Amino acid sequence: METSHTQEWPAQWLRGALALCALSVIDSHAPLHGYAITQHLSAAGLGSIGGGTLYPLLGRFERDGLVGAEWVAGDNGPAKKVYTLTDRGRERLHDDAKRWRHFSQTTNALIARKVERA
Amino acid sequence: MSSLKRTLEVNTPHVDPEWAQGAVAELRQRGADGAQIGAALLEVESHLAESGATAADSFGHPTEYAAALDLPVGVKWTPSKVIGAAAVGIVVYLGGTLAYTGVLAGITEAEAQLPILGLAFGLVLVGATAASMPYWKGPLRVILGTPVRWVVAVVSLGAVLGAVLLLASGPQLTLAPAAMVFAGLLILASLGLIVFAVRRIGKQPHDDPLRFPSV
Repeated sequence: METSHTQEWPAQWLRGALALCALSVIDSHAPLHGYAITQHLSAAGLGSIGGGTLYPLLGRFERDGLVGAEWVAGDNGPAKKVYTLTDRGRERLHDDAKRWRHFSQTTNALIARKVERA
Repeated sequence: MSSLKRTLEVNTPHVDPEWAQGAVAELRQRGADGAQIGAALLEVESHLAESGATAADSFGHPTEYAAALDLPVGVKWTPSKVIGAAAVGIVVYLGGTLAYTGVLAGITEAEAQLPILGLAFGLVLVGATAASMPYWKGPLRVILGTPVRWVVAVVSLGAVLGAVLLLASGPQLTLAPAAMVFAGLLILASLGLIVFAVRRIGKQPHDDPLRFPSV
């Protein structure tokens, strides 16, 4: 199935997957600042994620101890807050990824016939 | 130009000033301090400096964004706040007790009397309870975890204070019921005016300026 990198997904779908995807991106490319996280998510095919969606999520991650954050000097620009995954965050990512895989297998099986007919 | 506008112009030049001021106002109202607000705005600035988008397009309405951040804000107990809490507790207890006693005496057509020692003990108890609030965080979460526990706690405290007044002997403060009610209400109204005035002229933004993270 073709995936458009500029495709905008239904908001309800993104709400369910964004946290897991954001943790995954941070794990793969840390340390990352917020805008870079949105760029990686967009490049992965999730569409454009606004700051109003991402930064409250990052704030929750930080409060829950899933990410660590620090301010670093920007390259010819304002200081940036960069995020890295903590051990707890890695554990959460691993657990949720496993569950998500099971969830998506379940939903895929449920709708498989519908997709073939379309 | 106001000092806030100047501060925003210098530190967050890519953020629309009106948007930034809206976010600052909402965050202040929610109890965020200057450092928290500065950090939140700088993250917006950093994002917009790279993306080239506007704050409204990328972050939505400033009030909604500030609410979504759900910054952890709490009462930062300072000596003056502790003294203030104790003073308010004492005054509310004194005014409330006088007014209540006067009303009760008026209804029962009895003399309005309050045991001075009992009243003094109650004032000390209420003041000490209020002054110890900085240490309540843990126990309070347990004691006041549900509305039922809240009611039980308030009723229990009221029962203790009432029992002290009923059982205490010694010299009595005696007034005509109407006078006692008037005194109580006057004390409560004065407190209300003082609190209102203090809040109006109290902590101004310049007492807690925006502080931006430095690296």
